[in-house]
Amino acid sequence: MDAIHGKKSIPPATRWWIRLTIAGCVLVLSSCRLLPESQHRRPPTLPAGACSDHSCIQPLSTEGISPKVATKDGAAGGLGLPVPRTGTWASEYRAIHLGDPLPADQQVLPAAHQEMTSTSPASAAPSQGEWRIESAPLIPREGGLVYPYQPPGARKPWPSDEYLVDGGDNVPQVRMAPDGVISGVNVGDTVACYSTLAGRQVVEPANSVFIYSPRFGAVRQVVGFRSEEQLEFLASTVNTTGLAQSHEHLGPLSSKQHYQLQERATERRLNQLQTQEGDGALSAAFGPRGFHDGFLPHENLTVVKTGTFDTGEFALLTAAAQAAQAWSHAAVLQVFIDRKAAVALPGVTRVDVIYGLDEPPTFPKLRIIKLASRGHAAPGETVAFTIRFDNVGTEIIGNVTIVDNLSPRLEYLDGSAECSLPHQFNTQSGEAGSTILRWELTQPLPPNQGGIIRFQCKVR
Amino acid sequence: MGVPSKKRKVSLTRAKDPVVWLAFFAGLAGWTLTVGAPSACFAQQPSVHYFHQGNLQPGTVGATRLQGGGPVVGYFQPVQIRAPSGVSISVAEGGTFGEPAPAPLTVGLLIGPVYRFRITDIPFFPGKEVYPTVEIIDRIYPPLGLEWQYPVVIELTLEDLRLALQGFFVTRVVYLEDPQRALPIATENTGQNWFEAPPGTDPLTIADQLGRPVAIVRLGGRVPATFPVPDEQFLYGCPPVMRSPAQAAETKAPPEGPQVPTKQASMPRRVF
Repeated sequence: MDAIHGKKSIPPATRWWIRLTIAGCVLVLSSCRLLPESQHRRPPTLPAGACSDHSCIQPLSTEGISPKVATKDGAAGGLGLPVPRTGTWASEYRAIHLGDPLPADQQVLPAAHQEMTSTSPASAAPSQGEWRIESAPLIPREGGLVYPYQPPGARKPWPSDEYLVDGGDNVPQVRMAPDGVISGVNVGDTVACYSTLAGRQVVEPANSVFIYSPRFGAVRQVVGFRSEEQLEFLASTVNTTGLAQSHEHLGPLSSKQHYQLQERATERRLNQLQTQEGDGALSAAFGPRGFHDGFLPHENLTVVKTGTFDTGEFALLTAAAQAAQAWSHAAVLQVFIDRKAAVALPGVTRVDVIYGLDEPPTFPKLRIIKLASRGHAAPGETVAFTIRFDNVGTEIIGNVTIVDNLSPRLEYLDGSAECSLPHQFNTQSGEAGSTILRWELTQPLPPNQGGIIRFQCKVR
Repeated sequence: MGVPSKKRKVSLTRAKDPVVWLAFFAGLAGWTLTVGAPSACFAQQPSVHYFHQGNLQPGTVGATRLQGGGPVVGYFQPVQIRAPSGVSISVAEGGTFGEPAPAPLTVGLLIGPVYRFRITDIPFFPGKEVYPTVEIIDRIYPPLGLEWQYPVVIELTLEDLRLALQGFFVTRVVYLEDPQRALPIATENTGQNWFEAPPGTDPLTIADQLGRPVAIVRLGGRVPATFPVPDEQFLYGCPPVMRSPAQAAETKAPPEGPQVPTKQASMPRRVF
């Protein structure tokens, strides 16, 4: 071949070096990360119900919450409270209503939980799944923010360092382990964690609340002119400033998907409509466990009073807060038969429509909304926050925990926390001088039930 | 048909092909970058090169900021100057200083020009006056209607005034704190957070690392060369000042003096 084409063959030794060089270049190019840091920190936007590998595999950050691992016997967990028994309420509920065998060491649920679903037949086991995280649209910290007001002549992005942002779920996102330990709560995060009947731990972030509160600092330098004097400066200085340490525990880079096939995937018909908001219910704000006063002026919204979302109040809600993803789902027309959603079965040869009763698949969903009493505050002024949470799903949820990591510039006023449902409340110091507030509901939250949380903070 | 060559040992010392040496050094460089210096492969922080320093001539940083364009041109940024109790502050306008007003003084200043103030009635220094300059280099974006409620706060301590009277040159770079890195301490009773820049460092650079610089204040022992009407160079052309709605009704009009054009470029030099 060489004689025909006249080419000079490459010696084997040179061929070997060429391959080695190519391999080395490939190693260099594949190991270097050339993307700017801002792209790494861009929060992922997930569609509802999706759980990609990137969102499920979040680095387990030990910042904010104590990294102590909770034991199964209810010892102190990450926040110093007894770890909730994640499987207790679910197994009891399933034993009573779904016919599953009741564990020997479990107690029977109160009668109030029995009458709620007495008419529902034993459905198939809920779908199994791993982490399910639905993130609300996050506001990049380094860039601008979306605000209804536009300064004249100013282009986006607008500076975000003039606002106190509290709410949402920043990267790394919050994770709730099966034993109840919550991690990844960063400064400014407000999330609600709960367990489903299937044993899944779901984290639902609240919307972000923006409060205009600029604060200024100063750097001073004094320069002196000395005449007839000579200063002898040191040849070297010792910088006692230490590097800021951070503990970051990266999770495994590989993950295992636990998706299982739906048993009845064909049951979802095009004409089956289902609202994800629920009717809501009047909360127990005025009951024996209610607040000492009525609703505050900034709570004069239907969604806060009754839990029912009114589209006419959408503009009011978005004027001072960033709406969560759950708000964007509009209520649709439904046909109810015996208090259950019905499905239209149109026939090709008939003029009328026959409504059949078809039990839709159950799904857990918690809606959490955060509001502030004012949109701007000077240092020293007090801001009242209200968190409204509702079970807008179709199944009961348990171990409902609401965690709020306040901004370092917000000082929690002791004794101002209130909740309309039986709960356990505690506070903990977080990173950067922030305060972490935690409410744990002592009872599972049935569908179409909700509650209100209030607390006050002083702007530093 | 070519005959397959036999494998033979490769000896670098005896290799004469330049391609072999080139491939060897390229592989060595790749190994060094991947194993020997892993930090070089990670995304490096974008290095910031500061074009200006805090000890530049007043007006340089502001002029550069105006050249960048944006919503800063022609905008009167509300500024509140705070001083120890009993101190009187007046701002240069119309070629001379206006009536002194008790601290704090809230006025609207343009971004870029340099404003001269006069501080009088300093505690423990009767009859002494200090003439600081304020250079606004950036603005903030408050909600509509709240501009005067959230001004840029410039705080002058008694120590600053004392050092200026003793002949020292004091530079204060006021910056907007980053809420995520702000100190978790209350400031409504303790005053504005500030700290001393180490010697040999640039206060403007430090302020930029901590937040967003918005103003540069300079105090020294310089006094106007002419009295009672200071020269225009001392007043930096006397740029326009906007009074707050509350002070516009309370303060009197400044006394009539030499008419000084607002544009410094077309201002003739005068000798009083």
